[in-house]
Amino acid sequence: MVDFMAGGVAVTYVVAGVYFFRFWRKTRDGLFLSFAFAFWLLALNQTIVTLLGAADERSGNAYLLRVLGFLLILWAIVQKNVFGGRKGT
Amino acid sequence: MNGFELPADVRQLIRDSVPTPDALEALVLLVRNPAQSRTAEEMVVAMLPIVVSESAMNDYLALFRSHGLVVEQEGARFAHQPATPGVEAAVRGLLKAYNERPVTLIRTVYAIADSKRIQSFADAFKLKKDE
Amino acid sequence: MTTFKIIIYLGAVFTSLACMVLLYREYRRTRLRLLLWSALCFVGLTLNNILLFADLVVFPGLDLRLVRLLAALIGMLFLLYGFIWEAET
Repeated sequence: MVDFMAGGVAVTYVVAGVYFFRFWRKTRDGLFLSFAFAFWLLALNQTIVTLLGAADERSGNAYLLRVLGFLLILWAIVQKNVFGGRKGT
Repeated sequence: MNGFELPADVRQLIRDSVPTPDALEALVLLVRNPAQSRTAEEMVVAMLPIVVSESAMNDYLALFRSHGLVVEQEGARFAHQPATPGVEAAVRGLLKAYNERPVTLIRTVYAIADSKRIQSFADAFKLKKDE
Repeated sequence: MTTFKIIIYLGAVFTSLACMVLLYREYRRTRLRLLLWSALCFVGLTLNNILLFADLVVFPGLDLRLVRLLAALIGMLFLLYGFIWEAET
């Protein structure tokens, strides 16, 4: 059950990343590109953790990918505010 | 996408003042009859068989007015009167597209509405708002 | 558990919480439902991050994987629903 749900979550991360990538192509707003890669990192992390099984999950290092994903989002937010993002199309 | 794109000033006009296909129809109705002023209620009737609620029509009219497309006369009556030559040219371009390239125009209205909605996701992360 | 890891996990909690708050704020301003679904997604992801922190840092003896995954899955389904029905006409 856990593995099945983990797979489902990983798929939703991948699809969300694809949507963000498309939004980036449409609007050229860098925030979407960061979100796309962030969600793909979450997907990668979820997949690796599931493949390695519960034992490795607890050693903690696999979660660095996931944390990297959230740092990427944080970076995108900071960038949006420090460099002002962009205006118009 | 297809090769033809609407002129930049028409696209900007859509981005500013034409959020939906209904708004497009309302604007075209006003532009085609500049001598006739109408209240929101009369606009709703004149738009039939396109059904637009009066509150939506009020929103559109306020939008048109704030972008210099219409003026408000006594008794909350609205008539087309471009505020600047730039607005006038854009409106002429819009009407030309409406007559000659209706499919491209309606597609553009939807595409711009989409990209504005998507952009609002990114703009949510701006801590300070421009407006 | 090192201080570094604690900071990193809390950073992920903070980031997802910030996303949730900012998206909800923009939803209140614009009333675009896409933003409401996105904010709900980050409710799920924040919950997921808090549970992750609890699971791996605070109570290493517990196994909250199923609850964690459930929070992430529900959140992500909100996001995809919003993307599919509200982002593009």
